Amino acid sequence: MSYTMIEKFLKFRVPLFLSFLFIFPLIFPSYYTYVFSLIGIYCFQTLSLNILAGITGQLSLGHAAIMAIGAYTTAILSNKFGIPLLLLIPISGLFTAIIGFFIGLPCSRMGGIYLAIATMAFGFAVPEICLKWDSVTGGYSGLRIKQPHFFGFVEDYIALYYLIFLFLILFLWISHNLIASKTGRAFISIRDNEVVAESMGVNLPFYKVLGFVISTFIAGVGGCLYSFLVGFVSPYDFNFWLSIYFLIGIVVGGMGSISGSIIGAIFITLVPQLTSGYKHLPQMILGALLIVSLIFLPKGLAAIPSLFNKKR
Amino acid sequence: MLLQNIFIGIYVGSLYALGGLCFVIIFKTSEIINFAQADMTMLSMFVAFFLLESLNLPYYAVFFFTIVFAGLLAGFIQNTLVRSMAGKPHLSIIIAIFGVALIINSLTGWIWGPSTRALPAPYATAITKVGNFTVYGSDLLAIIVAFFFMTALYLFLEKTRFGMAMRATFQNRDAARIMGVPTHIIDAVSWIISGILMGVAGLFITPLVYLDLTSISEFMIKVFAAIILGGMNSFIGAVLGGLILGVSSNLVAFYISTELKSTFIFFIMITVLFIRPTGLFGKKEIKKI
Amino acid sequence: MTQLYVENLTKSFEGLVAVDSFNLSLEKGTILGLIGPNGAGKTTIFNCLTRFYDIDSGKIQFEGIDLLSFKPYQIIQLGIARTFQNIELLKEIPVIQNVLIGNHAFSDINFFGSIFGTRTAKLNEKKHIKRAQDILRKLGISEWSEFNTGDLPYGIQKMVEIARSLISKPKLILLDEPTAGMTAIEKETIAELITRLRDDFELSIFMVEHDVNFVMNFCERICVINYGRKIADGTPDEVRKDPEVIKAYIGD
Repeated sequence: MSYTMIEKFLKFRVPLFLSFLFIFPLIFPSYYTYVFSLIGIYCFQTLSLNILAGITGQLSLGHAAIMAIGAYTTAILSNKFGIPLLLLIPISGLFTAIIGFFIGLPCSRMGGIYLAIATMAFGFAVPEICLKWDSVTGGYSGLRIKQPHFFGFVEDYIALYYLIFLFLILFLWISHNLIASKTGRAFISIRDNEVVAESMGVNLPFYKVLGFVISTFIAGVGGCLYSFLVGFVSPYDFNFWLSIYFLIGIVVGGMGSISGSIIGAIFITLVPQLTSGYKHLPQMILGALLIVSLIFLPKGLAAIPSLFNKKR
Repeated sequence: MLLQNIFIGIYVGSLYALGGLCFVIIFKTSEIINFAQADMTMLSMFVAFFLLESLNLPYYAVFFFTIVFAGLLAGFIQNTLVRSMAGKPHLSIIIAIFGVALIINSLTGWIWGPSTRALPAPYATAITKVGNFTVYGSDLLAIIVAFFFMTALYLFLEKTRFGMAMRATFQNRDAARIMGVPTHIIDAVSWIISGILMGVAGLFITPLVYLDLTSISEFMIKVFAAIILGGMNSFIGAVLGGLILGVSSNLVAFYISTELKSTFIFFIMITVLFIRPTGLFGKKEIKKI
Repeated sequence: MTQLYVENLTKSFEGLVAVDSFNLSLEKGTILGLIGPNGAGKTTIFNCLTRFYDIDSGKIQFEGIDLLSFKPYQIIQLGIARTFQNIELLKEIPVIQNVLIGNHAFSDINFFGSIFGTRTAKLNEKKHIKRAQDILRKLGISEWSEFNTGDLPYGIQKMVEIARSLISKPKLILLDEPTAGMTAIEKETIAELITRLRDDFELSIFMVEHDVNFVMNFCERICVINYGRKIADGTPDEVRKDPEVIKAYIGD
């Protein structure tokens, strides 16, 4: 491949990739479509965490719990009231965002490590509530969700795949706009130096809570789609280690970058999938990857292309 | 009956306190929270189990070697990981420690598998009755040992030269280093002390909660709640926070519902974080530009 | 016309008095320099003015408005901008974005408009970008506007910080050690620049400085503090001859 061919390829990488995503489920077996759908779902979570932690600098260790809220809300509303999927997406997102607002309020007054601990405590509390409030949440045994039916020319699981990626692309595009916007700049300035941010006129509590709301909305939508994809939610699916996995995703992928969220989601989905025969291997690999990233590649894999730019 | 419950609360509380001191000593030295503490303790307990069941060593030997292992494990992690991340922001180191926890957790699960093990209590369960009040020998021993180690730590920090160097590091790390205090050695020592205390606390708590891949973590969450209550940068806070949490959660469990015990502990943790994040005895940091 | 009025400003930290009954009356359009030995309390005064610290007692008024009733993030809206001693720019983003941050309080862009990329939002953003470019051009650094800030030399970054402080159309700029790390030639350049900016943008300049010579040669008025107390206030000539000042810097 000549140099200009590579350049051309990179120029059209987004439309090429989108086309690939579009025809993917029509060619490959359903298992691969499922894995890709799962990557998509985890992408919601890494994107969500990246907005809160990577861009605004509020480290949340409880993002699995946020996802759980979206997932459980969907499961409960779908089962008890039969609300259709397309309505549940915004409802779950909004409900999760409301909870995110109420978490964000006290968290916005806390410094870095206490914020991390508070979100961690929240991350333990939510599965605990799901476990104990069994009349609503199904407790220990969790809840099954009826698989959605799509009217159309493709099979249900393919339609769900398209839906997931449709919303994911929407959120990725919104996040891309966000970073270059006034709000995004405010977020970044909060992350880098709160004192300077304030002297630029950034109202810290307002923007921190806004960060929580945006982040949890996206995670809530992801949780909703997760419910439909997997068809089952239980408290143990949203434990503390999952929150750590999301963190590993954004650290390895790249904190504060959109492509970093995507890379991170791919890692945290594929590593367990590819090592599914060995029960403890994925944890070891991800733990090791986390440490290696933090020491050698703190900006994550997404920063590698810019390293090449500098060399030229 | 009330007295009995308070006694049990003090027993569990003193173990929370001991566990809390492990966190606090590392936090005061380097402002790092050792989130891997639970998994490190768990691994040490599995080692104890191995020494006891596979090598058939007598208990006192197991006790000794386990706390040595725990101390060395902590020292090893400090010397390899934490030191190699020396210049990096604290948050990065803390996140890296999650990686360590993940690795230790999976390693332990891989070697020993998911089934539950048991460790015997450090002292045969001699039971004494004083009127209506039943005292289990093992509980009393736990309280005595916990306070022994707390006192030993206090004396070490207050009365020895090295302890004074440590206290200097707590107060102002950079100033201490400039004055010739070997902060890198103090870092290692604080982790080793933390490890040893972890081993002791673990050996007393495991007979109560049994040993599997999650029981120690569940205990550590409560320890965590205790230091949040007491204040992460205060030794007194760890001790009093542990005791208060132990007694109060036990009373809640007995008089209201055992189901609500962990909910109560979360409630305390979240309330303290929202109202006064630095805890009862913690010191607030002054922002500097 | 007195623009900044400070009366008996006192600030202490856990019993240690950092600033002791500081008084100041700054006329509009003046270039004022605040000097004093290390630890005298210069930056503390700045931090009190920008409401980063709550003060123990005293008055701070800007154009007649009592600053004490405002929060730190509102100060810029009143027309006071500031630079920092260690350049506090976001290194990972382009220069133009750093300048735009300075405009945060005055940016009228709707949130939903910006994230969905509406026409109005894009037009508004373009408007702000153009103003930022104009300022960069005035400072002579517009060719660097798309470069990542962290990649640029120190001198250029200092300019970016000044650009950032200008975009909010301030009336008073607080410069925290503007000549730190500069060569003699760079200091001359910045002196010219500051004077030109003061004239073009109708600003008042209040700077904290370490380089006494620079301040003596450049500022129209000088305040000297030592141990938190003001020991001199006047023209460079007056201050140069003041025995208290000489004692503070050189000793008995």
